[in-house]
Amino acid sequence: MMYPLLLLRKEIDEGHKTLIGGKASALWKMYSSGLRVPNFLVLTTAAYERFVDINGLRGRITLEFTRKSFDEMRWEEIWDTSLRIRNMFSRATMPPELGQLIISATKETFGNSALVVRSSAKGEDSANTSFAGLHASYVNIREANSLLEHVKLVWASLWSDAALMYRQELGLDIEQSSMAVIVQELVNGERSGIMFTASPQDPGEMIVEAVHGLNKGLVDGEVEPDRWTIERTSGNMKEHRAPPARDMAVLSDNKGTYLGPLSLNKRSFPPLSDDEVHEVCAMGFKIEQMFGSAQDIEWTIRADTLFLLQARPVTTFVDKDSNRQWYLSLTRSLSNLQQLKEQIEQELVPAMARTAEELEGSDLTALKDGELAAEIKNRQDIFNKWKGAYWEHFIPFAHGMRLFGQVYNDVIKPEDPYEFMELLKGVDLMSLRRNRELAELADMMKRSSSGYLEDVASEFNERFSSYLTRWGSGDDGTDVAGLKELLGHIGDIAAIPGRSGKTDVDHLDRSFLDRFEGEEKKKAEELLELARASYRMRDDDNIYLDRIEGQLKHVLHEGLARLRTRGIDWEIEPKEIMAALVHEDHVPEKRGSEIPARDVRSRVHIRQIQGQPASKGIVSGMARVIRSQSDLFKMQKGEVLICDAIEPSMTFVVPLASGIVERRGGMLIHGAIIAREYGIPCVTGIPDVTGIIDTGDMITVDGYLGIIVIQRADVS
Amino acid sequence: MHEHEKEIEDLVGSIMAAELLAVLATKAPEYPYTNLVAFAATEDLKKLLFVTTRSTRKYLYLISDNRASLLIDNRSNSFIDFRDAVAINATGRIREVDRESYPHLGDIYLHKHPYLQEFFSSPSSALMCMDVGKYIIVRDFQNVVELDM
Repeated sequence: MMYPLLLLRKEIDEGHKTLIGGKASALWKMYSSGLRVPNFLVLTTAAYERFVDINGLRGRITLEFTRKSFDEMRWEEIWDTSLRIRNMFSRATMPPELGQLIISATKETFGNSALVVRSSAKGEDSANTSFAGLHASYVNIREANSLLEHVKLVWASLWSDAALMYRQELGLDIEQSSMAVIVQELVNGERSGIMFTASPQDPGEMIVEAVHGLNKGLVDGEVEPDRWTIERTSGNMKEHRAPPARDMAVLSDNKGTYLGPLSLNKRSFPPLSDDEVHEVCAMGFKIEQMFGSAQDIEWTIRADTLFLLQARPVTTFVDKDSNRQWYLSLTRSLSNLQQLKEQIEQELVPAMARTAEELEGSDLTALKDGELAAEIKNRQDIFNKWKGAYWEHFIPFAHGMRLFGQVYNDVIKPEDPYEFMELLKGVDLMSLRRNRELAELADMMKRSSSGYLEDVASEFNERFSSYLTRWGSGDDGTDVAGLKELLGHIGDIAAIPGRSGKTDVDHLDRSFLDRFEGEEKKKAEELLELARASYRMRDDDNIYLDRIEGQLKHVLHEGLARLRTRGIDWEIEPKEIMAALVHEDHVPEKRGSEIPARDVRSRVHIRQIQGQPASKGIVSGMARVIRSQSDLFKMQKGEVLICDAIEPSMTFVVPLASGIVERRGGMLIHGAIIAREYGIPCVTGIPDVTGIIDTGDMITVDGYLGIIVIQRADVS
Repeated sequence: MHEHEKEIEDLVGSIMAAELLAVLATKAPEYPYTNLVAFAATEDLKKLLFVTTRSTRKYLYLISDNRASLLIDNRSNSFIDFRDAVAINATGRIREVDRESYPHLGDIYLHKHPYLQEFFSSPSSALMCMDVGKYIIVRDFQNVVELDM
């Protein structure tokens, strides 16, 4: 049976529900009940299916899903998967007859009006699966080509990172899931908002939120709204909460929407009068009765006329997965990220550096045992505080790269969805500076050990000591010895990262920026600058945190050294070190062991496994599995580094590695960034990698496809 | 038994039970030679059985070199196979079984393929048995594990 690819508002009937998706069904129901809804048409799920089948996308999405079980994926890997799928949609061709159908129908229906393109997924916005913000909507679309491009992006958002996170609740399925698209006339609202006919927190209350300008500002969180709470039974207004400032609004011009200053005369007035709040509530009640359940409604007012933009059931779903909620909070706007950049660069980084310096300056040997225990606690607290700041500020800031990547891919449509990383490479990362110093030290050591350059030997000791202090690593005596040993066999490591050579970054830079004009170009430049800062900080933040952690390790080392004199020579947890320092007769417990080697007795051997392709290239080499710090110092040039995650304290061995494999997955994680800077093939996201590979196994790292092949050392 | 080992054995066992046909690869003088055969597995998965007439090329090739592979997979011939299909390559040495000495092997085979009774019982047919050295299991398009037997 042939299903219609496109339905005009007047052509829709009850039988079209599954073809037009949840959101369009609600819109149609409001329209057919006589409520004021801006004119719209719907590209049905059949249009989505035509597009994905003609472009062979179903198979390609399937292959993306074979890479790894979603349950084993970290959020970075889910984002990567979504980015790759989005790029597939973006690069796929709109079938000409479908494109023509969309263009002619929109022209006929809306003339030259600006448009809104909204998702309407099957089953979306039903009472069980009403999650806001999983799929995309685009506002103020004006040209035919732009319309077609945005339709593709809405289709792609069926597989957005947020949707993948909620895949089980959505029943996301490659064969069954589909997406209709609403094309709607843009009502250039002067005032807009949302309303909950029953608050998710207190069903006895209605909530109205309103902003000046378009609803986008409120929905994206860029403009803080006025908020009214109304008692459902009496209709009495319980509270009106004004925002701290009513100074910004999302407005539109002939190119798109933008966040701009609100005119001064509007700033002192709430977007709605009390009467208008009640009018919105009355409309809400009507819609609630129509649908038979509490509704979450978007509306806008133009020339004192209220338009309904969409309605969906107030979700009763309580997400108990706090990680997922935290992840969704990472998606931030350019202006929000710019504020974050300012805070990180002006406040947090200097404060971290100051903290590390203060700690470095204290003389631990002068402390009595009890005081030392207190200092351990103090440093633990300081480290935990900064670790908290790392998660709260630095990790969200990494989204700057992602935001740039998405914009870059949307305008350039590159074959390689990670081409945007080429524009970010080459900034002066701290770990590369540290490695350059280390390479120089190795060189000096070589010269001093030739026997006749005493001044070189003395300079080496001075610089080595300075290195340890400034980079905060190697406070442990064993680590220092290990580092020296490593310097001895580092030989001619690359002091300067390898470059891919073929990429002309300036050209990419220009091609990207040339796609924009005027104000938009300025925004694009700002975004690129932000992304570069985000990229740099993804590495540097680890170094700053490591420096503070180094000081914690330093005090723990001092504590351990004192316990050694009491004959306690086993590994101990920090709390046990403190207890033994305070109570002389306390016998501390032995610390749990390091990452265990793999169970060699098993009859099952993993031979080939997929992860994420994190740095291009293919290489084979002997594995060096890092299960403890001491393994790092045994690293030989040309070996493949196998680790759980490349911590900042480990990056000094990266230049020795011919390939890198790590458990922690993602294209934009610290290890992947360092690998790309050095041009070393890297695969991330291999589950239990330090358990399935042994030092000495022959490993092939395919950084193009994200595959590793293991040839065991104990098998001929 | 190792937990992962159990999972892999169960997977192999379920596919051996569900699938009727395998691709047999034998060593021919010039090129590898492949055939479809109706197979059955012993419960411990250490032996794979099939029947062939003695006049076939595969029989001749196996007489001259008994090293062979059997490929068993559960594909449905749709794009979803790239995610869901499992392919198992069994490698080992193949010999003809003396049906009178080892009647239980014939029973296993006929239990799975009762409609092949006539073919099985023909004096010209041989019951062949692979002593599996190793299973190589490919899942999720590119993930490969080996199970030593």
